This record gives sequence, C-alpha cells and structure tokens, in this order.
Amino acid sequence: MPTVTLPYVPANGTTLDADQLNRDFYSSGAGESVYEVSNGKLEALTNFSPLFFVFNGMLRPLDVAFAQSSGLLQSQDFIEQVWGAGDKQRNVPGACITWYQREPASVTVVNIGYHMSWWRTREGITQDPATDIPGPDIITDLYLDDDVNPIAGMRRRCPMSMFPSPFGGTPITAWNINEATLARYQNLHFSVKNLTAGWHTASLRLKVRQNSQNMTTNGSVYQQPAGVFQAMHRVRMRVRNATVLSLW
Amino acid sequence: MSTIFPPRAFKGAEIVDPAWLDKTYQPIAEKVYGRINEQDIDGGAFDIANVYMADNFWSYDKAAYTNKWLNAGAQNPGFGSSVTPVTADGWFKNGTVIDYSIAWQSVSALTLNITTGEDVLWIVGMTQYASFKGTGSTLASPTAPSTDEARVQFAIRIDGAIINETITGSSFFPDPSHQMLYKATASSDNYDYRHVRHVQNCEGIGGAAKPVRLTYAAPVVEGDHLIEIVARRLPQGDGNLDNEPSAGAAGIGSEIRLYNKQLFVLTCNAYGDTVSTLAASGVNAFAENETLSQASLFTNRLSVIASRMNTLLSQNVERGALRRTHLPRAVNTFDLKSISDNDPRTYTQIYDSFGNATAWEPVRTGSGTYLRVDNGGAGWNLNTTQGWLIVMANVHLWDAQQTTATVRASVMGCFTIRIWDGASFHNVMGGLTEVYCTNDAFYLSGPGGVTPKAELDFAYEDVPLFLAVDTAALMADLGTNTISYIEVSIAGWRGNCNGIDNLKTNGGFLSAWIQER
Repeated sequence: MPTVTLPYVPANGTTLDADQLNRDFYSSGAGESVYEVSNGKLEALTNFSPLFFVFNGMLRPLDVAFAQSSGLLQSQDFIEQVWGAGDKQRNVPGACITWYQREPASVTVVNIGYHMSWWRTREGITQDPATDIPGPDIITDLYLDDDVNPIAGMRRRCPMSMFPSPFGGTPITAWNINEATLARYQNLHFSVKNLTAGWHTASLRLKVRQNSQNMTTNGSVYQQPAGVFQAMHRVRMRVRNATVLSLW
Repeated sequence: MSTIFPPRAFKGAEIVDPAWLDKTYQPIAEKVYGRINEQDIDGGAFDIANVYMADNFWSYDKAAYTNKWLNAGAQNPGFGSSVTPVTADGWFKNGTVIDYSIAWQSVSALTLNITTGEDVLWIVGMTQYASFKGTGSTLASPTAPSTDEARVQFAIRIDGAIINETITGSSFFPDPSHQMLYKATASSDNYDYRHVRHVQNCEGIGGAAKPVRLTYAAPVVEGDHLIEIVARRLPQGDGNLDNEPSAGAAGIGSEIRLYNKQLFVLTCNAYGDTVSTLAASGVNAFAENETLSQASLFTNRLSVIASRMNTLLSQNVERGALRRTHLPRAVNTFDLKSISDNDPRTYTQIYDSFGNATAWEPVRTGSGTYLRVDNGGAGWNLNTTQGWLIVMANVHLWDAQQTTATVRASVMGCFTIRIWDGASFHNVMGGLTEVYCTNDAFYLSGPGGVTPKAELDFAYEDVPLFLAVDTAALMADLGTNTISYIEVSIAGWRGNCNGIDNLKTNGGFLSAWIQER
C-alpha cells in the first residue's frame, strides 16, 4: 500500500462534505484512508520512518533465533546379545532431541555431546590384518528426522580397548583393558540449510556388533583355546546432551 | 489491536457533532500511536539497517535478534613455534592448571558476565587440555590401566549451578561398572575376559591431549548472569595419586593444563523488554466550543494521524508485533560442507610426513575434496557483511601413528581453522583455533615392554573445532576484508621422535556463517 494521502481536505468557509470526509476515514482506494491502510497494509518501506528500529521487544519470541537442549544423566550400557546381529543401530536416549520449529530456518545447527567408554576386543578374526582395514564393531552415526541415510561425514568409530595383557607373564593370563584411557567425550555437530517449519528430530545411533567369538587364528599373542567365551563388546554411555540452534 | 473500522459513517446532510468526530478519530489514533501489531503490517521485510544493534545507546542495551559474548585466552604458542625442548613439555606453554580437586573450579578466560532479558542462551565452550605426569615433565602417556591419569571433567555452569547434562563424564562417581562386578585375579590358563586385572576409572576424559567442546542451550530470566566452563579432577579408583614411579611407591600425581580457550554465548531473544516509551499522540479530543475548521478538523487531527501512518516509529509498534515474515534474515552467508568416504575400510588421506615445522594442509578425501566452504563461491566480504563469524567443525581423525615411537603421546594430529584471503592463508586469531589430539589407541598397553600389536588399530578420534569472532576483529587480524574460503587444516607433530608415517582422516563436517544480527 502506498503512502497515505487523504483525498479530502476541508476548507474553511465551506460546507463540510460528509461523504468526502468518510473517504478520509475509510475507503477502499489505495492509500486513501487511515483505517484501511492500517488494517494489514502497512509496509516496511513506505509507512515506516527511516528512524524506525526493530527492537527485541517487538519480536515474536524465539521467531528469528531459537535454541533448545535435552539430555540425560544416568549411565546406560549397550550390549548386542546376538552374535553377528550387530548392524542394528539404536537411538541413544538423551543423545537426541525433538523440537518444533515454528518457522523455516536459514541455519540449523545440531550438537550432540556424550561421554562414552567401551570394551572392544580385536576384530576381523578371519581378516587378513595386513590388507583388510577393520570394519569397526562399534560405530555411531547421526540422523536427522530418521532419514534413511546418516549425516555424511559424521560416522565415528571406536578402537580396541581390550588387549591380551602382559601382566602375569607368559602365556598371557589376563585381559588388559584400556577403557579409561580411551574414555571419550565427543561433541559432534552437523548443520542444515533451509530446514522447513514443523517437528524435527536429531539423534545419535549406536551400533555394537558382536563378531569377536573364538579368536584363534592370528598368532600366539592372541591365541585362545577354542570355545572360550570372549568379551562381548559393550558400550557405556554416560552423561549426554543434544542441542539445536535455528536461525532465520 | 486487530482490524478496526470507523464506528459510523457521516451522512450527507448531517450536522457534524464534534463528539462523533472524537469517537471516529480515537480508535485509529490509538492504534497508530502504539498498537500497531502483526496483523497491521503487510508482508515484506524491513531493511536490515532497521534492525537495532546494541550500541550502548540504551540503558538496557540489547540487540534485536541476538546478542553475542566471547571470552578467549591462553593460546598455545602455535604450531611450528620453536620450542625447547622439542618435547611435549616444550610444546605446551602457559596453560591454565586445573587443580587436583574434585570440586568444580573456574577457569580463567572461560567465564562471562552478561546481562540478558528472558532469553535462551546458546553456549559453546572450547578448549584444549594436555595431561602431564607430575608437574609438567612429560606429556602423560598412559601405558597401563593404572595410569589413566587424565580423569578430568568439564561442565557448563550458569549462575553457580552446574548444568548436569553437560558434564563430560559421569554425573555420579564412582560409576558402577562391569569391571567392578568381574574384579578378579587371573590365574594360569585362564583367558576369561572377566578376569581383568585392574579396575579402571572411566568417569572422566582419558588421553594425553584432547580438544574439548561443550554446547548447550538454556533459558534464563532477565538480569545479570555468570556463564562459565568449569573443570575438576577425579580421584583414582584406589584413592591414591596416580603415576607411580615404581611398584609400591607414592604416585607423583598429574597435571592438566588448558589452552586455546573460547567461551561464546549467543542469546536468542525470547521475551524482549526493549520497547521505547510511548510518544504522545498529539491528537486531542475537541474542546468545548472549539471551532470546526480546516485546522481543527484536518491539520491538527486527521492529517496528524495520516502523517504518522506514513512515518511510523518504533514506539508505535506493539510488543511482539513482528514476525519472521516482516524481518530481514539474521544470517545470509551460511555455508556447510561434509566429506566422507563410503568404504569404511578406506581412509581419507595419508598426509605428508612432518617434522616440527608448520606444514598445514587441507583436510580432504582420498579423491581430493577439501573440507572447505566458500559461501557458494562468493566468499565473504567483511565490509558488506558484518557481524560475527561463527565456524564449527568436526573431523574424524582416523589415525596418527608413529611407527617407531614407544610413547604414544609423542605424536599428535593437529588441526586448525584457516582462512584464505585470495593471497595467503591465515591461521586465524593467533592460532586460537588450533587443537591437538593424541592417539591413545594405536599402541598395545602394558608397561612390560610388550612389542606392538601385529595388526594395526586406529585412533578413531573425533576432533571438534570452533571459532567465534567479531568480523571487525577478524578484519584486523587478517589485514583484509576478503575471505575466499574457510577450511579445516591438518598437520602432525612428532615431538622428538622420528619417522611418523600415518596421519589420516576419514570424514568431517564444516559449518560457517556470519551472524549479522
């Protein structure tokens, strides 16, 4: 709507034209009346002063910048009980967040922080260690809105944390663990352009594959009698949180 | 106030009653002088110049969209700096020591005193720790479960209250563990995993040198607030000091130092309080016996309302009147990049061997795709796009291996955020974004001189990076207003060991934007 220009200017010494005066108050003509223009037709560039400033009190709360977090405190263990069934990925409670985004966002940044430790024995029992880089048995991925594919570039793995121990002499008589040394806090992140309005969720998923049974083939250092029940891979998730920041 | 209409229309032969004129003026005068709301404003955004920026003009000084605070300090001298001795001790200088105490303690430069409205705070803390045996003689290099000496935790603290969800470890400790259940002594011919020798502490971060980034969003009430990144040390499981020099001797303890610290707070405006004092309308009711004239009817009343409607001011708008559709974007220079290799058995890149000199190179995939953003090819002009540059990144450090070293902490993967201005690289803000990550995984544990494992295992570390900087400060640092691209760069450090061979990454994510408002 253009600038308000009142169509009727009464003149002294003349009879007041009520019909014309009505047009000043209300008219469907563009820019003719104070009532009509103010009813949803005020425009930033034509009706507002150059001295007009947008202050925070004028903004609808959290409309142009929005942030939210969630988290959990208690420790939780993840153990896959079925041999060879470890490609199932599970959401880690607390390391995920669901939020309602009222408006589309130019920038959405998700951070997921968590502390973890794990037992993972050597892997690739039948693999040739010289040529076959292990497919790690403990993997995390990030997901947005339960998409089929994880966030690219954010798959993380866990190295071995249990080793045959030199304590006690030879042959090896105990397992040595490096869990504390490897205990990690990780703060992962990903971002999204132009995320639509609506409900969204971001999550960390964990895969704990069990394939380390009966390790007998890779030299004396690691040799075990067949049938000895070996350590099951186990991940312990401790304090974790998830945070989203959306910006218009 | 929503849509309104004149209470009545005047009739052609009507003798106009001033009382009815008052009733007709009053609703629109009231609206235009302070009750303009979201329904009154058409679509189409205000110019970004109209968005108020904090300028210390108002007594309660807050910008319209967001406010930004940063504290930073205690930088490492920077990769490649000449250090003597060429050891980890020489490498890390001037860090902030975390006392060996289980009480949460403040850290210099990781504190912020801010004043907010009823806002939501987006908090990012970033630092780098290094763990030393004793008091700084050797970068800690745990070789046995009994020397898990780092055991440090960090957390975000707001107004003295720890945000428990941000603790980088166990909220309660000792944390009951499987090891506790299976604590036993191995016997001959017993290979059962349950017979682990040592009970380990896993309640804090391990490793000799690691970057740490904390993030959280928390609502706060209006007023002054103290935002902190705090730290504490956890005791060893047996209550003794760690790092025993020999069996039975007292431990010499350990020391944690922090470097390259940043604490950034972005407030998201929730319930803003800054609305200017309402201006008097200047449109008065007709006085008794006031003459109806062009001046009294039009010039002093109707025209005043119309003029104000053409030049609306801040005080004419109601609280909460503006929605996103009315407003310019807070961010218009956002770019992101992720790189990864699909085959989990491959790694991104074997980087060049390195010594102790600066040798940064871009993190990349095996096919040469860089972890780099350039704002869609346009780069960033810091003169025309002002605000705060915020960069966040994660890199998967696949491995950093020193094939001949017997001390794992002697090698580190080093990362930084670099800016290319079209002519040269800048390791921004004096190396503030540099982080260093030791590989705690590649060497077989055990103090008994056990030979390295026959097969390789890998570091598999995640390396977080962060930068928040005012564009004015960044321009001063760069010496130019031009950013062609921003990238994550990698280099290695080998201390006084020779022959590092394997420095690899696989995957990463980089986000960068300028928070204009």
